[in-house]
Amino acid sequence: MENVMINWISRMQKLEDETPFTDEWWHECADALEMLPKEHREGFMISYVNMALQQ
Amino acid sequence: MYSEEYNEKVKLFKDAINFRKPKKVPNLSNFFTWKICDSEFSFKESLYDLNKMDKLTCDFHERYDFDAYMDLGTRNPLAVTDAIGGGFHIFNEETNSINAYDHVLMSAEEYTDFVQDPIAFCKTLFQRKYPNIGAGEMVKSLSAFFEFGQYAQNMTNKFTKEYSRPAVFDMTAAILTPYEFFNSAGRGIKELSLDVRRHQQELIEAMEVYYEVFIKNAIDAALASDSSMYVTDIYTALLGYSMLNVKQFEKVYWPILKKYIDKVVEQDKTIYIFCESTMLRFAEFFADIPKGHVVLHLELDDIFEARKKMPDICLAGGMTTELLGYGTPEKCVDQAKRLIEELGEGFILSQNKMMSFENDCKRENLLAVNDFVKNYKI
Repeated sequence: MENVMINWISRMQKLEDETPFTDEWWHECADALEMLPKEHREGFMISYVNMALQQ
Repeated sequence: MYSEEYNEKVKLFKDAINFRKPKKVPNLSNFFTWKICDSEFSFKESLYDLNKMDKLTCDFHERYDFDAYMDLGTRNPLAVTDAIGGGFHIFNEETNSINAYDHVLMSAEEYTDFVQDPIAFCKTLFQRKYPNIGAGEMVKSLSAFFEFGQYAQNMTNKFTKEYSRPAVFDMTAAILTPYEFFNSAGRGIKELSLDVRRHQQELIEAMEVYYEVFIKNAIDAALASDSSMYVTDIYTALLGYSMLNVKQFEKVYWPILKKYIDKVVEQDKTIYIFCESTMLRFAEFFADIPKGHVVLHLELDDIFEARKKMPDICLAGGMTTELLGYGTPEKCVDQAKRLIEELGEGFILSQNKMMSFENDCKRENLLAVNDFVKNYKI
């Protein structure tokens, strides 16, 4: 699990250097969530965005 | 799998919802950040340290011993949004309070953009709300979101297994209505109130799309899952509706809320609706719903009046902040007794408001009420 988290942080750091907030960028962010089953990754990002909007 | 005590607690609530005579009236905690005021910790250290939040939440249960809890310290995930620049709230350390302020992230003309691609539009709103996200901040925020999710799960497990106290609902079954989304995350209270008059059709179309994309499947999934271990199957909270008159409610709010309720009734399930402010002027909409499906938690309405107008709806609340915060133990117990005797079956005793501020309650009043309720038979 620790390695998965390290990979995720490294992929996210790379993504943050790229052009952020395009559609492709959001998909990449979801895809980077390797600690979650593939089918839950997009849903997780949508939950995150919704929570951040309503907080 | 669950202890006998746990099953008994669930039964107390299910009996109340179904108007069966319960062993005793279920006593539900609607305490949120007041728990911090009643603890050894400051607001700031509790909200940013989940270990402290865990401890004070457990201490609260051990002190007051409610039958179930609306909140286990999961209300304010400030670390998630602080990492990316902070949300639209005021955190006052002197008064120990958090207040959100009304804000506008989209124009009325943009309902049509939302309708075309709601998911993309939500991401646009996210960028507008958090315009200055720096390097490493998304990772920090998402990590905090993970941590917060794990905390919520751990607390539910702890209360279920160690304390034999049921969660009121599954976290994924808390499903806010589209109107509340545009109220809190898009247009704000003031602008949305104007949209109801000036852009009603665009608003209705956008809410229909929000329902189809974000809500419908979430309700179906929640109702299809085994939620027998929870007090209710789905949960929603009404706030923005308080700005509407009856005609506006009928046209703008009720059609989608009715979809929630119809699905619940069709599948013989239950929904818990927390009604902020007042709702009695809308009582007629709930009058024909059959017994056993809906709980209305009332904030500012007269609960005795509500019973007369909605005899088949289970009601929750009754203990007011005015009494708990400024009354005496004797007066609080008198009110609890009156509530139990007059409302009896189909009633869940709780606090009218989401208890958040220091003056909402005095410790001796709450101890007196809970001690009385524990032993009082209907």
